[in-house]
Amino acid sequence: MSKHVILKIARKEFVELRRDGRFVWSTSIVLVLLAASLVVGWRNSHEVERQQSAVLKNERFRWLGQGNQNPHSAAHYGTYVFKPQLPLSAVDSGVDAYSGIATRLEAHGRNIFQFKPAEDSTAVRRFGELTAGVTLQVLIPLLLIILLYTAFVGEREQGTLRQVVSLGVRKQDLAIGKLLGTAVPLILLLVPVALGGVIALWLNSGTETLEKTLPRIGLMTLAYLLYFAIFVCLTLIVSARAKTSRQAVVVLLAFWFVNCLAASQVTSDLARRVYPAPSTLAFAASIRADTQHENEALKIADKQQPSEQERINRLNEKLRQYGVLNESELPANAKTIGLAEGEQRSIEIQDKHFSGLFDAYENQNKIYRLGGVVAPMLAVQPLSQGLAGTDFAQHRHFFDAAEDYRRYLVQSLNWDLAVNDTEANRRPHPLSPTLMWYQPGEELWSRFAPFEYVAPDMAWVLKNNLTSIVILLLWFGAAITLAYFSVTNVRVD
Amino acid sequence: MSELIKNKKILAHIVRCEWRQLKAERLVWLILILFAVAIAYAVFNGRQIVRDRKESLQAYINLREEEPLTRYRKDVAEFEQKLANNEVKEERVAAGVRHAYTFSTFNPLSAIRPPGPLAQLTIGLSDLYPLTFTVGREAKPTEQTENPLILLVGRFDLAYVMIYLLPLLILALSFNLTASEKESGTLSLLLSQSLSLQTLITGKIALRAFLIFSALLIFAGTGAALSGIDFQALNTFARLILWFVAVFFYGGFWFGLAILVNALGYNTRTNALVLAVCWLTLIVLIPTLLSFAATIIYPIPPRAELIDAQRTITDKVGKQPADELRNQFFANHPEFPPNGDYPPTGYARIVLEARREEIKRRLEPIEKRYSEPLAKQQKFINATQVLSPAVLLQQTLYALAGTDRARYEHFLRQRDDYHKTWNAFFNPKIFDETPFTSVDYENIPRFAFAEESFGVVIKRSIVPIALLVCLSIAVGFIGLYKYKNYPVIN
Repeated sequence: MSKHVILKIARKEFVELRRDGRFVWSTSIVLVLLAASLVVGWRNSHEVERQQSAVLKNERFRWLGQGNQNPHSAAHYGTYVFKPQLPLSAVDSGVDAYSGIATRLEAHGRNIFQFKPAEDSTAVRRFGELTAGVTLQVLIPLLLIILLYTAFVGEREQGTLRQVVSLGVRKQDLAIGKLLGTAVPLILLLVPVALGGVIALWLNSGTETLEKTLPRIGLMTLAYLLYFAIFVCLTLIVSARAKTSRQAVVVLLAFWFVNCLAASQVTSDLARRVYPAPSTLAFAASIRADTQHENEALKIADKQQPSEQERINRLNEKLRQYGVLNESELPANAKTIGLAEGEQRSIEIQDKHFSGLFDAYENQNKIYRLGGVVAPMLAVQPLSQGLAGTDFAQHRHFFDAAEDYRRYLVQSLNWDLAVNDTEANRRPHPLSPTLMWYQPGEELWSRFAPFEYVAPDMAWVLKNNLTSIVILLLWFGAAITLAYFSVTNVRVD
Repeated sequence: MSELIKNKKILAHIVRCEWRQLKAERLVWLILILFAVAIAYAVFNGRQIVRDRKESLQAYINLREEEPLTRYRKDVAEFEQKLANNEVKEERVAAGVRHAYTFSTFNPLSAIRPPGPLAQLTIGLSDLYPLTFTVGREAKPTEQTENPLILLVGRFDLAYVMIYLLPLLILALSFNLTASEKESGTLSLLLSQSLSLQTLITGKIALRAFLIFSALLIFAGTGAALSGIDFQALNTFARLILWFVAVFFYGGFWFGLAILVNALGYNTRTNALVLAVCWLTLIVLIPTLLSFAATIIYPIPPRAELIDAQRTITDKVGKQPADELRNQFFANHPEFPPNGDYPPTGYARIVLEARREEIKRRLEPIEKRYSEPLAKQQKFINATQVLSPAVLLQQTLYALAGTDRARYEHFLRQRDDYHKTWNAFFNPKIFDETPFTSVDYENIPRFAFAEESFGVVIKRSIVPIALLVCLSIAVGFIGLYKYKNYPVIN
């Protein structure tokens, strides 16, 4: 009986919707936007990936082909690394445009990432980016509100609600029927778009990548479905309780605005206040101050870091002591161990400051995610970025992995210098043949395998986004319960 | 004449009645409180951000410039004292505080971009670009560190309140000008008096505009006064006045649009929906689509390409014969005679300088692959900005605040000039290895940012302001005109 009724109601709603030109138009626009943003997002990340792998190949070639030179020069020459793009970054480009995706690994400390793509854009970008993520987070909720806000209040105003109830239709059947007739067709329209994306991914990257990505796609779909369900329930609650449809629409639009546009800004500024991070200049200054402080301490300890003039005096003394004319002729270790030690000191100082800075960002992001309690978008957005591999946590993960590789590279080269820079290993310098110089070649460079980055797996991502998942589920639970009570207790007039 | 006086009297009467009605509703008070709170928070926020930035700039200057300069000056003065006392002998030695190379290489000074004149009200793009460049042998940016999520989300500043929130408040106050009066039948009753529909609408809108605009003036005016803007600086007032003019006409546009949609004769809930969709289209969809279209029509290649070119060119120039580079340098710099009396280290450093110049020269066409499409994107936006009043307002506010890309480029040009001055000062001393004296330390060129001339700022902002004025007047008039055909009775 009730199944039959539900289907009847659903059919009636669907027919009305189809006849309404506004629905057809707005849904088509949203779907076109979604498809366009997916295609362009996919094209962009594909282009970036292609470029980066080409440059990485060249970088490897250059590294191996740098010829004979001193290992410390090779450490200065260094190499560039790029954060690889996961397939789902086409759906949600996250913070990539603002965190930068390339950095140079070289001697004497880590570099902050260069080239934020956002720098290469006009101010209009500040209005938002057309990505599938934004369409799903901002536009579809609005569409759901527009489709559903009259569900009860509209029928009540027309007086048809009383009639329907008098026919013996249960109110929850009415609600389910309306959902089936309006929201579900819309969400079903998303299926072909998603399927198209999956097929494109499969054709482009092959079965292996698809298999790895499928669980992420599944979870992302689930997260967005939950998010839509929350909006559907909220709309039903308001529609069931509002006195007039005008009140319903104003309340729902206000909530949409707060959720999609105001909450993120207000929360992120709040987060900055609760966990202030050092500014760019203060950060650079504190690293410098610590380095100076350390040098001062060393200077006092054994006069190792004297002023330029003193350094020259000390060097001359050393040269006399060993009876040689040139710094490079000093025996190994005496001079080169200092390089490794200096590197180690800078690593410790930078570790302290970078982890302080990044911890502050992570704490800020925690507050941001907690903002999901007020606005569900602040829960679904970080989760979506996390699954797409474009959130700050995964930026940091890459940054730290690259730093580990840099240490291994630079310190191995320093060690090689300390051990092998002996009289027997020195050859005449190509530019000035009187100068004897330790200058290994490709044999040494090829001992360093290129940097291979393994992105964190899904368990890591989920653990990282547990707060958002819990908040999203709580919202869903609360919304569906409240919707049930609101619908069953809806006033007839 | 008497007609006009009569009209005025009627108008005043409408405004009075309307005010009594509005006053009785909670909505208007809610809107005014929300507006005040949002403005207060935005100003507080902007003020804080700019103050933090200024403080850290000052700390940076002290640490990176004043402190080493003092140290070097002290060292060199001590050395000169010893020299005068014949305690030491001056040698032509390429090291230490007496050599220009030491300071210029190890203690580069900075080109510093101060916050824009109205940055407290409009953070704009200022947190995206490097604040300082160290200018020594090379000009290197101090990369910005900021939580990328916060950058992505953007700041809650006064410009944000004006662009996004102001229209919403206006629409919330005016989506129901006549619809419910029509539904309840009071409208036809009213119009049976000697009162035209247009006068009624003018009265209703005038009251609402008065409320919103006086709130804007009082709240945002107080906010601006307390925001920490430097009113002593030249043109601050003029910038601020234009800032407000643009916001007023932007508000005017939304009032006009509200009249227009009301004139179409829908019921209240449809009015609300149509206006919400207009808001979404004009403030979110069109700007996003414009930016999207700009990047598709004039794509900017990934920066990986630039990195690759930098590496290749640096390697190639590194392998170029020293003599060739040196000769090229002498040809480009007649101030350095090729057969001058250079000590060996100075002679070697000419090669290094020549190498840097050559790398820079070869990279120029590649950097253009980034700057040219971006300039074209901006042109595209300029040509299409009329499609969205929000884009018009944004362009204006950013330009007036000095937080747009153009002012950053203005800063970059000054950085380049400073680098040239720096090189012109240091290079002869580095190459000749003449002693670098305490007088030289006093004369080391310092960077002083010159604010953009007001004329340039006007030139950039006048078109969007003019378009905003035209749009708001046009929409308002069309709306009032449309009211002629308003169905007074259902």
